[in-house]
Parts: sequence; C-alpha cells; structure tokens
Amino acid sequence: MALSPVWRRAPARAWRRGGAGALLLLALLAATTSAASASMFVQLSGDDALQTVRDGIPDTARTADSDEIRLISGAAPDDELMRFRSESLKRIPGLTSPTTIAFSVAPELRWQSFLRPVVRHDGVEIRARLAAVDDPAASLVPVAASEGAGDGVWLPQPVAEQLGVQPGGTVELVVLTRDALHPAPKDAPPDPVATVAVDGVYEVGADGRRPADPPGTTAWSRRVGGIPTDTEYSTQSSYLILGDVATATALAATTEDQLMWTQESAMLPGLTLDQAQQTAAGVADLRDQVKAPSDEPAGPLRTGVVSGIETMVSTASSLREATRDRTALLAAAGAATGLLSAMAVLVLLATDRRAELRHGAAIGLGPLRTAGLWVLETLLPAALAVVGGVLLARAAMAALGPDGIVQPSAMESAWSAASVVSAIGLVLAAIVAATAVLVADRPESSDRKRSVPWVWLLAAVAATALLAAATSKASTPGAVALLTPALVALALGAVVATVALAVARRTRPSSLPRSSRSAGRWLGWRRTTGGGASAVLAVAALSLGLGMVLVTATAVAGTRTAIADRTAVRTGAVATAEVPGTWAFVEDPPKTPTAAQVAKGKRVPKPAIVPPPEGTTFVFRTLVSMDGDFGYRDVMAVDPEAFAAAASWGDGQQMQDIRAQLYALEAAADEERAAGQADMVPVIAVNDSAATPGKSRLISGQGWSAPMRVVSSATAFPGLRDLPMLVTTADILFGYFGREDPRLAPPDDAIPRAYVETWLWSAEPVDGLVSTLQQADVPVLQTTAQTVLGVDPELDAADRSTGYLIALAAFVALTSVVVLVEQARRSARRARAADAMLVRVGLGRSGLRAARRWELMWAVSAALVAAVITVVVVSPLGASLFDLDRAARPAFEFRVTWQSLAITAATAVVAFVLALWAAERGSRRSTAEEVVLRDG
Amino acid sequence: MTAEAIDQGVAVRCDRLVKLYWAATGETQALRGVEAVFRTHSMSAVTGPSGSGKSSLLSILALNERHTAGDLEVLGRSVATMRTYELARFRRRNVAWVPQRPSDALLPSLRVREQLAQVAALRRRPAADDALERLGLAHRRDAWVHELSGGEQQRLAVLAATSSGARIVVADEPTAELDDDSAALVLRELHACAQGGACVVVATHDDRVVPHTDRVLALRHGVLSAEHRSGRSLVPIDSAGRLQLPPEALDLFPDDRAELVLEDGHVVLRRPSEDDA
Repeated sequence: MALSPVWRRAPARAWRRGGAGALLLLALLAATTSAASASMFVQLSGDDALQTVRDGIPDTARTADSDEIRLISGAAPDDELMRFRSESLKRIPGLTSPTTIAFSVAPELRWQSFLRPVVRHDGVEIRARLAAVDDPAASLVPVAASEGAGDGVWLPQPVAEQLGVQPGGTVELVVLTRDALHPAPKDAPPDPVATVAVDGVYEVGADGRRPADPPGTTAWSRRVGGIPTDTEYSTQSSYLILGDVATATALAATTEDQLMWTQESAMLPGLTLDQAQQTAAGVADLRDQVKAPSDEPAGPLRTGVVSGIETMVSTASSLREATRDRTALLAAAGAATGLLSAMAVLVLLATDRRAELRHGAAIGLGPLRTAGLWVLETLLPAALAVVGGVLLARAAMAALGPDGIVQPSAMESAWSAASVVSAIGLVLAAIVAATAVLVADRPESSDRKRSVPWVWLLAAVAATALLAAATSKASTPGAVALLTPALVALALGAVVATVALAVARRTRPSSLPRSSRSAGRWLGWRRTTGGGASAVLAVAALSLGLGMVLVTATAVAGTRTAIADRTAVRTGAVATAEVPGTWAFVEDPPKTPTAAQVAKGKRVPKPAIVPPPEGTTFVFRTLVSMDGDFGYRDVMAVDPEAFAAAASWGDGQQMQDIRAQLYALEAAADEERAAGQADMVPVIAVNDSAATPGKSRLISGQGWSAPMRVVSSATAFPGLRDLPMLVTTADILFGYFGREDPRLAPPDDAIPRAYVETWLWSAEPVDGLVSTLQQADVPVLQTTAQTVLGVDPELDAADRSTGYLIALAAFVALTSVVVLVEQARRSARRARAADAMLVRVGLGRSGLRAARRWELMWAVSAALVAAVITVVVVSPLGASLFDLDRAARPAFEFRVTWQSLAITAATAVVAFVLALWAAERGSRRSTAEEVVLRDG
Repeated sequence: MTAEAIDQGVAVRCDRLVKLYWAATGETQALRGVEAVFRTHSMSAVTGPSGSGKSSLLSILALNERHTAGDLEVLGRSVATMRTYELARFRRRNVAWVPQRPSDALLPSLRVREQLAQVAALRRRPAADDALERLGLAHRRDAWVHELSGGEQQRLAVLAATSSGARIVVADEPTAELDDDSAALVLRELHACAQGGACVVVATHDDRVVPHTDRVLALRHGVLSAEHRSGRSLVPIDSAGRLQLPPEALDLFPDDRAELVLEDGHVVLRRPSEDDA
C-alpha cells in the first residue's frame, strides 16, 4: 500500500513554509552539543591534567616524585630473575625502552670498613667510582673519544686532566681498603687492580662532578640522589668512571666492587590519561611481583621498584574525576536547557498550526498519527543536530577546551550522548503534537473559560526548585539544582512580561495619535498590549538566554576569582624558600647563648636586623597553643608592609579587604612600639572562631609566652594551612622569645629550641629566588613554586569548567535569540495585511518600523530586566551551584560584575537588531495586493 | 430522542438551546433558547445580522462547541451526555465542517487532488475521482493549497466536506468569496449532498443561497425569529409559548406591553388602552 502524501512529505515539511526546521535544529543543536562535549571535555581535561602534573615535575625531582620507574637490584642484568623482571618492565605499556645504569655501592654496603674506590695513572690517584650504562658514548657529552674496541671506560674531564690521560691510554681502577690512617691487617692480600683502556673523556655538569646531560635530555640531572657520593666528602657527588654493562661488570668483579643495577624507563611523552592508567597499573603489578616472596636474599641489594608514576596518575585521575562529576552536571543542565528551548519552539509551532491540527483531528489525524507526523518532521533536524552537535562540540573543545586530541572512546560516548538527547527531542515533538491535537480537538466547553495559568505554574515550579536548591544539604549540586537558574530565568521572564503587559494595558493613552510619528509609538504600544501567550513565551525564552549569559558570566568571574584567591591562600606567594634563619644572611651573626652561659648571667644578644633580598620578605612560622582553648594555632610573623607587597592576594575583593587589614595590624604594632615595651602582641586571627576582634589571650610556644590582642579577623590569608592562624608582626612577637629568638644563630650546645620556620617569600618565580639565595651563599632547605603547589584538583576542575560554562551559555543565548527572531518574524507575517492597510491610510513604512521597534524594545527590555532579577535571586545560591569546594577559603564570590552586565546587554542588543531585521524582512516579502489576497 | 426520531429523518434537534460567552466586559448571551429541528435529506440556511448568534449556532451544530443550557441531540444522541473524547470521535465520524476561512479546512502539505484522497482514506471511503470536475477544480488538481485563490480554496473545502461521507455538513458562509458561477457550483454540490441523505446547514448573508435551500431560519438577538419555507414566512413559537415580533411590529408597542386577545381562533395583539397604561 502506497504511503499517503501526508506521511511522505512529513520529513521535509520542517524546511517548507510553515515549518520550524531551522529553529528546531538550533535548539536541538544546543542540547546535543552540550551532551556531546561532556565526554570530550572530561577526556581532554584528564589528559591535560596529566600533562600539567608531568610539566610540574622539577628537573631536580627524585624518581619517587617523577614520571619514571627504576627497577633497582644488586643482581646483574644477566641474572635469571632480573631477566624475567626486565621483561615484565618492557611489557608495561606507555614506557620508553628501559636503559640500564649501575653505580658502585661497595663503600655503602661495607660502611664499617675503609673503602675508597680510586682511578690511577702515572702515580696520580683520584677518588672515583665505577658506573655502567648501556652505551656510554650516547649517554655522555664527549670531550674526546678514541676509536678503540669499546670495552674501555670513559673518564670525567677533570679527572682526565688531573691524571694526564687521553682516550686510547689506560688507567687502573682499584678499591682501596687501606691507607696511612687505615692500615691493612697483616698478611692481607693487596687490593686487586683492574687495568682498563680509556675510550673517551666526557663533560661534567654544573657541579663539576656528575656527567653533563646530552642536549635535549635531563637524564643525569634527574639522578640527583641516585649518583653515589664522594667517599671523603659526602656532600659531593663522586666522579664516575663509566663503562658499558659488560665492561663494568668485569671491572667490578676484578676490583671486588659491588654494583647496584638500575633499569630505568620513563613515561612516553603525550600519553593520554587512559594510557597512563594502564602504565600505572603495570607499574603496580611489577611492584607486587618484586615484593612477592622469592629466592632473593633480603637486604639492600634486594630488588626494588621506585616510581612516582602511580602517584602522578592518581593525582591526574582525581583531577579528571572531579572534572567528570562537574561536567556531567553541566552537560545535563545544558542539554535540558536546549531541550526546553526545543519544546518552546514546538509549542509555538503548535500554536501556529492550531487550525490545521483541529481540521486534521476532525478528518481522522488524531493524536497518535499527528505525533508520528511531527516525529517524522523533526527527524531530519534531530539527525542533523546529532552530527552537528558532535562536530560543534569538537570545535568548541579545540577553541575553548584543554589542549589535546580527542580519543575515539570519547568520540563514541559523544555520539551516544548526542543521539540520546536528540531522541528525547523526538519524544518531545511527539508529546507536544499529541497534546496539541487533544487540546485543539476538544470542543470548547460551555463553562466559563479559565485559561491555564502557566505563567504562575512555571513561577511555582521555579520557586520550588529554588527553595530545594537553597535548602539542599548535598555537598555537590545535582542537575536539578544546576537547572535552577535556567528555570528561574524562564519563569521571571514570563512573570515580568505578564506584569508588564498588565501594567501597559492599564496605562493606555487617552487619545489617538495625532502624527505619524506618535502613531508608530501608539501602534507599537497597542500591538504589545495585544500580545498574548506567544509574546510572553518569546520574552520568557529570551530571558532564559540572557539570564544564562548573565549567570554564567558572573559564575565564570567568580570561579576565576576563587581560583586566583585560593591559589594565593594555598601557596602564599609565587615562590617561597625555607632558609635556616635570617642569621644565615649575616657573617658572624649574634648567637643564642647556651643554657650554661645564660645560667652564668650572659645576656641574650640583640639579633641582627637583616633586610631581606630585594623583592622578598621574611615570613616566620611556628605553632602555639592558646590559653583556654584546645589544639594548636599556626602563627605567621611578618613585616606587614613588605608582606603585603610580596605575598599573593588573588583577584577578589575579599582578599583585598584582608590585605588592608595588614595596615591596621601595622598601625596597632606602631602603637605598641611607641609605648616602648609592647604590652600586647597585635594579631589578625584567621579562620579562628575562638579569637574574635577585641579579645586578649595568652599564647605560648616552646619556652616563651606572650599576651596577644586580636585586632581583626579574616576567613582566609595567604599561606593558610589546616590550622587556625594568627598573623602578627615579627619584631613585637620575638620580643617575647628571649633566647628562643629564631633570628639568633643556633647555640653551640645544640639544645633544641623553639621550632620556628624561616621562609623567604617572593613575587618572582622560584628560579630567581633560588639564584638569589645561592649568590648570598644561603642554604635552601626547601622551595615551593605556585605553579606546582597550586595544582589542586578542585581548583583545576573549576578552571577547566569555565570554558565549558561559557560555551553552554553561548548556545543557550543563541537559541533564545533565535526564538525571539522567529517570534518577530511570525508577528510581522501575521500583521502583513493590517500593515498593508496602515501604510495605505498614511502611517507609512517609517511608522510601521517605529511600531516594530517599540514592540521589540519592550520584549528585549522585559527579558533583560528579568535576567538581572534572575541573577539577584540566584546569587545566594551562587556558591552552592558553582563552588566546587565550599570548604575552601576564601568563600566563593558570586557578584555581578560590570563586564558580565555588559556582555548580557550586548547579547540583548544583538537579539534586538536581529529580530528587527527579521521582522522587516518578513513584512516586505509580498506586495500589498498579495498580502490582502492571501492573508485576508 | 431515539431511533424513532432518526427514522423520522431528524438529524439534529435543538431544544431551548442557550449559549453564553464570558468576556472581560461581562456575559454575552449568544443564543437564548433556540428550538429547531434539522432533518436528513435537507439543506437549511441560517441567516441573521451580525451578533444574531448564527455562528454560535453553527459551531454548536458542528460540535465544535458545547452549548451552555438546553438540549442538543445529534443523530439520536444527546450531546450533553457525551464525554470529550466521545464527542470528538462522534464528530470525526459524522460531522463535516466548512469554516469561514477555507484554508482552515485544508491540509497545507497536500495538493488539491490529495486533499480529497486523504479525507477518503481516513474515513475509509472510496475516493471520488470526478469530484474536482464538479466544482471546476480539475485544472488545479496539482496545485498546493497556498497557490489557490480564496474562491478556489472555498470550493475545495466544500468539496472535501461533501465527499467525506459525513451525515451532517455544516458550512459557515460557503459562498462568501465566490462569484455567481462558483457559488452556483458550490450550492449545487451542497444540495446534492443533502439529497444524498446528509443534513446540510449553511450560515449565510448571501441571497444566492436561499433558492437552493429547503428552508431558511432567521436568527435575531439569539432567538429564532422566523422560518421561511415553501414561500411562506412563519414565526416559530417555542415550547414556552414565546415568539419574536419583527422589528417593525415592535414599534407599535412603545411601552413594551401588548394586550393579547384571542379572537375567532386568532391571536390579536393590541396596544394597551390608556387606562391600562
């Protein structure tokens, strides 16, 4: 049986007159793009997170903190068990081909005995230790090389120069067990000597000892801590005599040295997180294999695995999981908003086709058949939306998302998600069509008509969602909560439009217009107040878009501020370095007297006042207890003004306000100083509910106590750790420390004293800070860099989500603008007959244009007002909706900025201009005669 | 009413039919107790000035609206007792409606020839191949609805209704946009439909319609004021004994009171004497 033309033509109807194909496509595209982008974004975020973690590995990181793995053993590579384990290492995916290296460890193993590995030539003897690599020539930076057999050794350049030996010559290697201070037992055999050829001389690194890194590698730099030390000066690396595996094995056997073998691999560059997880799993398996009971004897030579890969991958995975949870919610909210827009388009279409639906029902096209027809009509837009959504998502990720390549698995998920959302769109089309037929087909009741108060119902739904979100105790917002701003925007748009219409109707002009100019305005008012549900719906749809733009722009601004602020709180400054004390900067600093000296009456000297290096400030930290309260508090003693300049303060107003408290602290300190002897230590109490402004308490440390007065309180502060913190001025605090003053050099009797960390904080990068300290010959105990320490999973996920939020809001806004444009076009088309007559009676085209401008200005203004009210209404929820870590400090600031208002206003202007253009175009399509003939 | 009534050829019976509309300005009584019977095999015209209630009456007869009070029986079934779905199904099977705007009775995605075929398919009737020729639309068989003139759309809408096999055909101003020739075609079609057994009711201002109808019902102020058939003009008396005087007769009773006298089997209305006033 041939298919009826109604069915055959249904799929193409969306693109013919009376169809809404373009609009439906756009609305569904917003939904499918949201859904498709989620999996891509999560995958790219995870890969980017892994790369961020890998990029943050300093050159001097230990293997346990790096993306490398070392299989370490006292057994040589040709040992059967080691061969098995080597094969296991090679089978781990995502790793470079393992390289072998070994170092002499006999002095460490037999530390009770005197052992001194040396190299000799022509009576010159230099301490040096044997080492092995796969290919010495490739692993080193050659200075000179012979063309020998390759079974010799390579010497470091300083050693070669001191020995006066060139490539091609020979040297002797021996592990000395005796010298003048350590005579050998009687009848002890002489130390075995190995004579070996010199294959080459290699360049050494900046420390003058370890081999220089070949260009493009950091192989030797990364072996910090792995290279054996000089047997006499343990703070220095030993010179290394390098040979290949076979040569070194033979030499070690001859000289009775012991080599510790390491097989090293590193993660391949550019691995995805999924691939890296497989690598981490392989590393974990190898670790289990090595730990399992075996014939290998226990002890320092037992095989072990050292790697930071599992930790690194775990960190990146945590970042990805945090991003995944967040993204899923945003994608669901975005898809729902797109589907809501699609539903609005379908409802508008049903309104347009009411007469047709009624006639169709009358002749037998009931709800089910009509639903089927609309599904067919929506099929092509839905299919195009799937393809377009995936492609657009991919393009959006390339433009706004993290760097990286979208993997096939993410693409598969994207296709599935987009297809599901599109299918939901088809279901919506069926539901709207069926419902529209039932409504159109229903004989009008004889009862007094009560129109469904959909505006107030929608407002009730939005209010309920708002209340639920506001009272929710969930730690993370659900999809419904994230949908709340959209619902509120939609409802407020409808409410504002309804109220504005009601007010406008009551304020009708008392007289008819007297000129064509005022006639245009009068006509615009008249048509506006005559607008019914479809006009309210168009305003609601535009309000949805503008509201989402404003809320999103505000959320993005708040997120970026929170990231900057919390990074500042977490890291304190761009770079920090812990030093032994300010006394380390001074030659011959005043020392703390010993307890015995104090007992004899020696006074505690005044500490040297050391100005910090330019651009830095000293920060002292210690723990104290507070009278009347349990637990410890972190104390940070600073120079308030210098600290204000050197610390990181983020971007938000909260942190700026907190920064201003430092000046009040300095003023309070000045008051104490002016009194001569400080009575109280003024403090800023941070995150401390027990220390409120005005309170005075006694704080105590090891060997000292001081009365403190709380000058002000803050919820956050740069460098805030897990404990409540008190910030004070160093000079006043240490006035109570006596001999415990950390600015004095340690006493000779090394009695432990109050533990105070001394840090140098800087607004410049860590390399510069370390360089400054090296120049000042001040030891660096540890450093932190904001770029590394600032990698926090929640912050990272929030940062990555901002681009995603922007893309979603842009789509929703675009869809809303198109709904307004379509409404303007429909209105213009409906009014063509009346417009044709009005032009003829003297209003003219300019009057009509004025009328349209008034109509659209009203609609856009109402939507903009609703959008602004939306963000005000939703602002108490801002933190709960957009803050990924509500326990973090400072609190999330959801505050409308002028930039977000400007973006929203610009969107409104674009909507106005496009709608006006569409209306003008729609009304000019036909001649007046055609209009009157067609439209009646 | 029962099968007995159907046997007597009664398609629609209106008994004290009332229709009220509620608007912001208050209540409007569109129909105030209309009593009429529409029979099968007949074509009736409903006339009256604007606001007389004829569109409301037609809408109720076409089952597009429910009446507010009174009784309405269609093909032996009381409309008031039917649920919404039942009524919609009953209407779909038995009533064809030609609205004032003919494009509302046509499917925009179909060509002219396909409109009739679709209706026939949905109503499980054989398609009438020569129908287009009857109304002079054969040469437009492949045109889309939006390509037709107003008159062509009108003719097509009437044709779709008459070939649907509906037992009741209700048309609102079917000749409004038609020239004399086209109007004649339409009226002939409607008349033929009535002769085929349908009950055809037409609302009209057009004098051209009258000769084609079996009777004309005149509505004024929501009340059936006159019935013209077979050249006679009758005043309907409703079941409450009320009738509506023509406007010219009302002028005789400026006080809105008349003395009614039965005289020689006639009812005589006189102006009250001055004593009575």
